[in-house]
Amino acid sequence: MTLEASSHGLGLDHHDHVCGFYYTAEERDAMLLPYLREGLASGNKCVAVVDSTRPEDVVAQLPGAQEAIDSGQFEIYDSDETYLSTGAFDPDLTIDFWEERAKGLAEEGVFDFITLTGELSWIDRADTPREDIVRYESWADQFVSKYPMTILCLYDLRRLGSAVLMDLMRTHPKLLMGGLLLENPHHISSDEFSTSRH
Amino acid sequence: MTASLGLAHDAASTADGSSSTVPPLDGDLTLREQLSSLRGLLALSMLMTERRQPDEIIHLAATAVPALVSARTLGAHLTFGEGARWHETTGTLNEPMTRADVLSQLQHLPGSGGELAIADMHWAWAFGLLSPAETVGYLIVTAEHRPEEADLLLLRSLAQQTGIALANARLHTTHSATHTVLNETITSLRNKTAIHDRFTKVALAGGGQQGVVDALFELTGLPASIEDRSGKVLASAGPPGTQIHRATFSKKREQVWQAALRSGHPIRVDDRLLTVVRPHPDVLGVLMLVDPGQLADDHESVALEHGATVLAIELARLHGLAETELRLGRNLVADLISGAGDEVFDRAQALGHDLRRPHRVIMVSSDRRDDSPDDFLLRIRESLSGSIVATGNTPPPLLMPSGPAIVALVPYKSTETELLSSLLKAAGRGGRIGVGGICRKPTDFPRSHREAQLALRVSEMPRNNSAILRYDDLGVYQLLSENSDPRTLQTFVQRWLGSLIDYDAAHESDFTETLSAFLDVGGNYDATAQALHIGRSTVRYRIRRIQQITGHDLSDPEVRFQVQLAVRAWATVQVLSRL
Repeated sequence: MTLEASSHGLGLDHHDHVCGFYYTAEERDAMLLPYLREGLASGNKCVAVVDSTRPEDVVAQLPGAQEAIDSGQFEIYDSDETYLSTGAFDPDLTIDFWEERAKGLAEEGVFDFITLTGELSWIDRADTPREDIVRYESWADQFVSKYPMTILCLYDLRRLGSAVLMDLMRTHPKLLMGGLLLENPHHISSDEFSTSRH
Repeated sequence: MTASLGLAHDAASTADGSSSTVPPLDGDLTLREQLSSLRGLLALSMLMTERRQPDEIIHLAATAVPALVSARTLGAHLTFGEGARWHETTGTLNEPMTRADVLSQLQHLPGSGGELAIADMHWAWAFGLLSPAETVGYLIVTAEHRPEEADLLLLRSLAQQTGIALANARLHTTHSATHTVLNETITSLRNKTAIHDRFTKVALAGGGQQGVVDALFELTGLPASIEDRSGKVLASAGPPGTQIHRATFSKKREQVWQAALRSGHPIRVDDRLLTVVRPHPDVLGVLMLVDPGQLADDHESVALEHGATVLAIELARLHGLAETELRLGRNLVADLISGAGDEVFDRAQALGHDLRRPHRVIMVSSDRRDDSPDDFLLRIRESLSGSIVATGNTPPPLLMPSGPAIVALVPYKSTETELLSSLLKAAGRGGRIGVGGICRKPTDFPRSHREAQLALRVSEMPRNNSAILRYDDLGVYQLLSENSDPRTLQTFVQRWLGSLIDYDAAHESDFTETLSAFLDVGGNYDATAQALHIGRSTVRYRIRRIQQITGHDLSDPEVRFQVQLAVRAWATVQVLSRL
């Protein structure tokens, strides 16, 4: 099953998990806003976690977003109340959270599709090991394939530098960069990545 | 378009049904890592090529190193842009001494780079940031051990991609700057063309001075006005309801005009941006923008300069027209006061004058020695123009120089006093005005001219206190001058004053003048002494001598009357002889 090229504003297909890299707030918004706008317009369940901007600022830039929040179609959180709710990043806790959330939505049967996005620009702030991020993103590759959904992970290169891009490029089959989808058919697994770093 | 939410069965399926990954190369993790690193390097290269700031490009390259190989970045040194400078330096490269030492080593390295000797570093290498044309700097990397050749290849590739991205950014910056300059040039040219077109329309349409200020206001959005040399507002334009007043300067107007003329370009004086045009020595126009907020810049200055060009042409045209009108008017005046008849009606009509309406001849003289006849004529002309415009008439005044005086034919108005006061002011120091009687037909003009002359001469007589004299108010002079035979007057003067006049002529004395003053004040010695600025005893002596010379007894009222009349007749004869 394939969504229309413009169905997520970024040309993503169903079950696509993509990482988006930006250097400025304008570049971030050029990915984040069309993605959510299209998800809301398509009637999808939309869940967003932001870090370098405030949830209310995102809502203010999306027509109908507040109504979607009130109706339960749209959920938007700050990273401190999700990824870093315990004060540090715990990949297992986060994975459990998303698994439970997706399973619950599936059982409710209200929405046909999930548009999910999370901003991971807090990595340096939370002093997170790179292996944890790689493992988390690798889990996301599997997670996206289990449900009718798309996932967009956003990274701030100004804050994080390009190492995270290099690591994710090596460990992922697909990355979104500047609106361009890059593929790496030779990617290594997260376990292999962890092994290679020790 | 969307499916029911549930578990997807084909976890790795994609849009075209193919697998999203290539089957792992069994056991060859190293090869896949290298291939993945190259893919990552490709992605990074694309990312760096999109950046426009050297700082951002270096940041991306420097932070990629530890993800590519077991090494870290010490910093980068760029040799282009605004001088050489360091970027992303860490640890030992933040120390000035080490920097200086490394910089010295870099200067001896080839463009591709080479090994560096840095204290306490096992291995340090400067990778040349190569662009196709040159080396734009070096990326300095350190590691615990010399990396393997495959890793060095990755670092060299990273440095090359960084160099290309930097060169690309520089090229983009250059292009952007060129583009900006070109855009500014195009915008400027468009603005100038718009200004030129607008003022050309004004010139072609004969929009005159009002057309110039209307266009200037339209182009700049600032109120505009034209003033003459004296500061009179000739035309103005601004937002509806705005009254544009005469400019007030902290310096003298003439100083402002001279400064603007010297500059040759618009100058700012107090709340005005102005330029002065002078198409003829006698013609000066000031075109100005009212700009208290000092908002005007090059665009407004260009508009002002174009407006000034059109204004100069307009003023030159008006001046030429005025010269022609003045010449035609002068010929008309000459013909009229010489006794031309009804044949001048059409010529007068062509100049905008209706001679069927009552007119007067007015003569103006001045004692000013510091101005030329042209200046005098110009002042009288401006004075009459203002007065006539103010009363609703627009034709140029009919003027003609006549010796040291000026003859003017003006429509008869009940508000004449105002016009005469204005003329007297324009005449300046020692100004005198003689006003002839009313002319109701062309043949009356010679008479009115003669009357104006007589009134002017009488007004110029010593001890006359009236600067403006109407012929109708001349009294006994009017009676005497209207005597049809001047010889009768001469005989009468000779009968009563002949001996005294002859005495004065023979002895270069002025007893006749003394007698005139004495009789004017009713025979009062003190008043006569005061009027003539001589002593009372001198007056007494002179009066006694005058009685001896003439044989008249001035204490006899009848004799005194006849003598006083003779004195007036003598003055009238003198005046008439000069007409």
